[in-house]
Order: sequence, then C-alpha cells, then structure tokens
Amino acid sequence: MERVLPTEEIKERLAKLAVGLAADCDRPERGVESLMRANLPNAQMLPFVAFVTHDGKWVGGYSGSKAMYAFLEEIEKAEKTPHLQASRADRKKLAGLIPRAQKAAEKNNWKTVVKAGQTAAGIWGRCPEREQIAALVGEARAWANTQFAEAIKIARTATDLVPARKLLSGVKKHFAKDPEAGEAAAGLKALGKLASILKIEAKGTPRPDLREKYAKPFEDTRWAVIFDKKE
Amino acid sequence: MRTALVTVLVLAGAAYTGGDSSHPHFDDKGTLRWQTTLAAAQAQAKKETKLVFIEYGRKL
Repeated sequence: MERVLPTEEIKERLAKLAVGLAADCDRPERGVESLMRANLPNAQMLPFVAFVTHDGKWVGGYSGSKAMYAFLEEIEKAEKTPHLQASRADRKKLAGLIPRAQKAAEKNNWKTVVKAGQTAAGIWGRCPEREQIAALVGEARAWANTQFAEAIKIARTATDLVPARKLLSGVKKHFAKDPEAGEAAAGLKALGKLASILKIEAKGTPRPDLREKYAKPFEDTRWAVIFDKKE
Repeated sequence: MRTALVTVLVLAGAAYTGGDSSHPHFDDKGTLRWQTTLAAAQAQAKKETKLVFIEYGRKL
C-alpha cells in the first residue's frame, strides 16, 4: 500500500474518489471490524482494504497486497458505484439552483452564487449539475482572490488605505460564513495595523522594529507583505 | 517506572488518535488526508461527496 498509493496513476484518482481511514487492526473500531467481517468473511492477509459510502454501504474491497494495476482496477470499480451519484430528485434540486446563480455571476453578485454553493453542499451526490454550481463558485473564489491581490497592491504602494478596505469589506459581504470572509477579516485587521504604523511613522522617528512587531501576527499569511517598506 | 510506562502508553495512543492528516503507519506522500475514526472519515466523505477508503492494517 505504501508503494502503490503515491504512484502517479493512483494518487490523484484516489484523492478525487475517497477520503482515507487508517484503521489499526490491533485496536479495531467496532464499526470497522463489523464491516470487514460482514463483507470479507474469509480475509486473512493484511491489509484489509475497503471502499464504503459515508453512510456505511459496502462498495468493494479485498484482503492482502495488490500491485499498482490491480489496485487501479479496484478504484475503477469503486468509481462506477451508483452510491456516489445524486438521486433524480436531488439532481432536480441542484438544477433549480443553476439559473439564478448563473444570472448572479453575470452581474458579479457573488453573494447569491456563494449561497447556491452552500445550498448545494447540503445535497448529496455527484452529478453534472453539481459541477456547474462548483464552477460558478470557483468564479466567485477567483474574484475574491483578485480583490485580495488588489488590496495588497494598494496597501504596498499608497498611503490612503480606504480603497483597500472597501475591497475587503466587499469580499466579506459576499462570502459570509465561507473561508474568504475570514481571509478578508484578517486583511482588514492587517490594514488597521498598517494604518497605525503609517500614523506613527508620520509623527517622526519610529522604533526600528515597529513594522516587524506589527507584522508578527500575520506571519505566514498573504497579508505579511503589506508591512514591508513602501515600494 | 509506572509513570514512565503510562506516559509511553499515552503517547503511543496519542500517535494514533490524531485528527485528519498523514497516515499514522506510513508515508503516502500526501495522497489522502487520513482520519483515524470511522465517524470522522464518514463525516468528511459526506462533506466532500466521496467514499471512505479503509486501510485496515498494522504498523510494521
């Protein structure tokens, strides 16, 4: 397994199909043990390997090691399971979200697009309709990233930070409850710190480590660069 | 001595009960994010519209 999983043929395909559960056979969880006993009753050779659905339905499995191409066949079988597909009723629900989200995307109304994505997340199953919604949400995320980049550019080159604040407030408004809202909030906090630095620097000779000190909480974030000296 | 033994056991347990990340027994070079409980794996699979891939094995 250790040699097979990272291979080029397997890696991306398996990651698209499944999340991993590392089960320790010496300290087995009852639920996992029951699944294995029920579906691989004659299994003896470790590892026991299985694909199951999020609600515990057996999709496929085997015991013992398999070479890369044999394991690939197991993945192919699992990919074809109907258990991953959205039901007709759910596809209809997802399809119903698309026209409004499309119109909203045309008008840069990302709030509506993000909301469609959140609603879709509560509906189970793979289908083309979900992919269409995901593509629209992807456009919304790309827009947020351009706003972040523009805000950083302003913060690094201008002394008036209001336009940068406006950009980030806009992202926050559109992406309530999504990670981009948190990212925008962090950016607004960083801009607040930068405004304080600019005020102190304008008064006279600031401490040499002033920028470094204010930048510290933003280390390893995209906002760290705004604390560099103006370009 | 007893304290040391308990500490070793607790640490050994902690190594296998972490959240989602790398496989606790081998390096899969970032192929999957691994959970160590069925409930956590199922919740993640539901959220991501994926299956749960169970690797039921032993540390060599």
